[in-house]
Amino acid sequence: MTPERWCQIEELFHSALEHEAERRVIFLNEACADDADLRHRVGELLASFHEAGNFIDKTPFDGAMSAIADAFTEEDSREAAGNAELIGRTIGHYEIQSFLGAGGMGVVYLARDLKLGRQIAIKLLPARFTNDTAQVQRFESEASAASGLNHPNIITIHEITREGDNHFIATEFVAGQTLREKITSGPISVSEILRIAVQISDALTAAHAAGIVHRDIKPENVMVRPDGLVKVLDFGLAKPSPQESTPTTGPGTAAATMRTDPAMLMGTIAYLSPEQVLRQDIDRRTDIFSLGVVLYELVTGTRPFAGTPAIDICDAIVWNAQATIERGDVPEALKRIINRALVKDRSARYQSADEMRKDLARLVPEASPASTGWFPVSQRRLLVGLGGVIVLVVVLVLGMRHETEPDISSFSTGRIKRISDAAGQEIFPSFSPDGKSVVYASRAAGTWDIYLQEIGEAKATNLTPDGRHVDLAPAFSPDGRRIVFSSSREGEGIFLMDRDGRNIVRLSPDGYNPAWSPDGNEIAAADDRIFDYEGRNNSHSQLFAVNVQTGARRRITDGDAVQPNWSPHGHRIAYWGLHKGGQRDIWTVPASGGEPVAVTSDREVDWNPVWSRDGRYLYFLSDRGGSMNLWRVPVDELSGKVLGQIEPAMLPSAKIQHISFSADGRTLVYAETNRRENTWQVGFDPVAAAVKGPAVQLTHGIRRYSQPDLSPDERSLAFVSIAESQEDLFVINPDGSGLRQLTNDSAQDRTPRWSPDSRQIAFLSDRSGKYEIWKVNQDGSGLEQLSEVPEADVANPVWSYDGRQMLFRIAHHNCVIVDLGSPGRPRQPLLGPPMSGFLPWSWSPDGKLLAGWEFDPQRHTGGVIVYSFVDGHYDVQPNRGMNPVWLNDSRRLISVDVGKMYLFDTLSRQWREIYNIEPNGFGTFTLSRDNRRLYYSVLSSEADIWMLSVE
Amino acid sequence: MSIENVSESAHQITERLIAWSNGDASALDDVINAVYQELRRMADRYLRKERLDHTLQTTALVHEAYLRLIDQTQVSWQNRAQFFGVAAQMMRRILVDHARTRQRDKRGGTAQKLSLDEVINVERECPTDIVALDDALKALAEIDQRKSRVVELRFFGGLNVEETAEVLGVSTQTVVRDLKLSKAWLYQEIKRGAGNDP
Repeated sequence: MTPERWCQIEELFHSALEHEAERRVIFLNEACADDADLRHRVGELLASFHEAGNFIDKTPFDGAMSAIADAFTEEDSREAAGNAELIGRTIGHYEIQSFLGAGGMGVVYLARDLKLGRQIAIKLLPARFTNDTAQVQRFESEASAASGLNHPNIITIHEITREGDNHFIATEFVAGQTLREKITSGPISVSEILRIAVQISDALTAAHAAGIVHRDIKPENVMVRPDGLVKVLDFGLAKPSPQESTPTTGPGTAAATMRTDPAMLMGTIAYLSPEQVLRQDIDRRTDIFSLGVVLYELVTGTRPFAGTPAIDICDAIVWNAQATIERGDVPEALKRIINRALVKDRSARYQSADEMRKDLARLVPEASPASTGWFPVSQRRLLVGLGGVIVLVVVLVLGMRHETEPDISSFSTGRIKRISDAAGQEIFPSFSPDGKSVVYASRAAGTWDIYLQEIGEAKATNLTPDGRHVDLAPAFSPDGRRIVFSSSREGEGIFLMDRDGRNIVRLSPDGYNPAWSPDGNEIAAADDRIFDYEGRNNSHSQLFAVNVQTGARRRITDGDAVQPNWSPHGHRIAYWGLHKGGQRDIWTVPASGGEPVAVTSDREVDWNPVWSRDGRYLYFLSDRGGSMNLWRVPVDELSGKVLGQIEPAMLPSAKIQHISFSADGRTLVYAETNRRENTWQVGFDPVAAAVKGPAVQLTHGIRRYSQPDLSPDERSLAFVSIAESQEDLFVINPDGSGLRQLTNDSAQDRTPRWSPDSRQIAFLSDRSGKYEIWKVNQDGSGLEQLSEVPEADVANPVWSYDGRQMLFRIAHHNCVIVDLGSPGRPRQPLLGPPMSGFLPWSWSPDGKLLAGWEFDPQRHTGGVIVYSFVDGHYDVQPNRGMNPVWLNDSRRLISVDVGKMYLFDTLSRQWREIYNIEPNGFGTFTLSRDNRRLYYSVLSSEADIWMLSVE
Repeated sequence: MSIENVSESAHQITERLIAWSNGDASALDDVINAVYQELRRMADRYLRKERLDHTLQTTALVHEAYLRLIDQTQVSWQNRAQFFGVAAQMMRRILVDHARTRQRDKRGGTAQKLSLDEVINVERECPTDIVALDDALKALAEIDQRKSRVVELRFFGGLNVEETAEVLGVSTQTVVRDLKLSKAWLYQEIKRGAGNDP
């Protein structure tokens, strides 16, 4: 069409429109008398114009924003899927392997952890988020809270960190189906639903205990692995109902809000609790309701509260009762559980996930015969028809069950009981053959001793109360009369004693982790001592056996082998060892010696093998589920041949070690361990020089918040996080929120010290190839080297009170001062003679005194030293700890010594204990500028013995 | 990003916008990029449910992006109009790409459905086939570039008649007339393409 023609059309079109409708035809006919084509074109356009109605009158959508958001999400996903560049790249120590999926908050890749050789999932924050510091902080602090959860049914967060602009979360990789996929692919058996339900409620129990509410329990957030293990995802990440939203008074208002909020995903709306719909405060009972919705859907295949549009679902959640569950094979008890979870008034709902878990767990055995395949359903009906016969069969079945190993699912639902709960660590439990007592090692009396605990008795007996020797790894003899253990007494070795602690005799001058042969004639042991899978002293430990009667000794293995366990019929010995490169796997070897047979061979950490009492399974500890827990594999006791798949026997505890079964195999004892370093705050009265309780715990979690230093404005806490081989600086708000990482590299960064103006952090780092003092701004910018001492390492940066000078120590030499205002000026040594062991720590506010300490590696403690700038004199105090910090009067100081805190008055020269947190220990501490609050780090190491009875 | 940084970047984008208005073609990329990023940020805030109280019209989006990105004391009305022109183009691109993907997915039947889709299907009231409209607009641009732009600004950018006139440097009456003919022409074009009602 020519432009002229188009102009003609346009003119005629508008002219025609100016005519009234009935006049238009006449007008057109006249205007196009000799041009039929023109007449036709304009006529058509006019018709279209009327037909079009309000076509394109309105701006495209009311929901334009959601479309855009959606478009961006898709774009991320496309970008990611097509981003071949990222695949194969290494971020941190993770090698990106393939694209897994994308969601609103990031793109997920499958990656390999190059350090540990395992597969992980890595969630990258989209680049557009990373410009938004507040958003990144929120993301990281939420993930940080969730990373404190350590539970087999909760996806493990390995790391929250960043490299350059890439912020990412590394989590355990779970291969399996989401519950959504399972629901879509067809009906699920009641027994499977129960097993899934128990595990979800178990995960919720653990999270709620840690104060974390999931808030978005739905089928998309639950994964089921092929072996049946359930993993709940996205704890702390998904928050469908923002708490900051205004609370409303009635459902009408809430409904209105909901209507204008199309982001409230349909998929999510269906699982909201009434209190979420009503935008009331949320607590853990909200998760219980959502779990109820999920279970209802699992059972019926439909959602209890449905409707279109979203607003109808909301109404149904708040007002409508769910339809009765009609499915025939669902036990009444399960229907009751679901209905109780779905009570709209949360005070009438299940009050805890644990309560719900217990009710669900009770149903598991009831449903299990159909699922374990002992009786096909048709046969069961037949048997029921036979009336009395059924009784006999049931008795038989019960009898059989006691002869066989516990059903794999029964471990997570068994009854657990804490055997020891002394402060500190109790480890290495071993059952007596009669199952009535347990021996274990504990440091309750100061050194490691062997304790005997009769089950049901209140108190344990210390069998080796000499207070001097390290006694570990006890094991009851098969006849229950003697105990073997390793000890540092008589120059070390393996020892035997009676079960009451008498008649201690040395069996071998070396060896650790002794294990009895089932006939009681021999003890197997290894050259290397094992507490846990870390910290091996040597990688060529061998196994040997010592004859209990004769002391005769024989070698069993050549390759690396530790922590032996003898099979119940004496055929083989299981152990674990290191491959070159650190991979930990399990083998068995004939008890008489010979070729080892591999049981596991993968990059997961596998250790602590223990035979089942019938010899058909090998149980062991492995992190293959994300956290250290119990697994088993069927093994032929004679040949060592692996007969089947590795399956999880998840215990309802985290960080398991040291397993021992009772003689009937129905009960086991184990140690659960927990090492933490968290920051606390407590009040302080500088006049009375007294601590004013109560103390408040500020940081929570498995992350070790080491060497915390509080900014003088009390708004940020800098600390060092020690992970794998990395030591990096982090900053967190004192309430534990807003975690941000300041350094992230292979350099070791230590000892953060805030500048007096709270704007910079000085720290120690080996990033230049040797340890020097560096500083960084509180937002991570402005990294700068402060010291330059080519000849030696430097340490212990100390700011002057006015922030103008910095003092640090040159190793094996002296302390020096640099003037930060004039960088060119040479550093000034201290006046006094060099004191090479002096570790400076705190400069008095009046500038006249410097407090530090001298570390005594022998006694693992320090001695406070006060240096005077006035006369160059060092005042050396015996003992009384480390990390001395001046009060504002420049006269008194506070120091810590293991679990005790002291106050020292330099004038009266009096020491006084002011605080005691034993059996925990102090890390570093900071005093607030006004001297009214103490922020200190608590090092705690807990390990307790638990007993689990399988029904 | 601190407040200082925000205003600094606003200053820069304003400068680029002015430069582009003055004929520096290379500055357009920077403006486009900034608008794009700003729309993304708004989308993110939206995704994070921080916009519960906010209207979700395209008009509001474009205006909000403008307020956030441009230092109003520095620019003339021509600059403002040009900014809106860019934003409208951007919105068109995003929405059309999105709609195309969705169409492809539906045909393929295998693509993973994002949960947001469900909501959009319920909440969205406008039945316009965005992809068909985009195709028709392209055809219209070949005959009459300006009319195509008018529709783009009005429909995708959410600009009112006055703003549209401002961007294109024509009278409001021309915009109104253009819209009428465009409506008829596009409707006809889409109808032909689809073989039934658009």
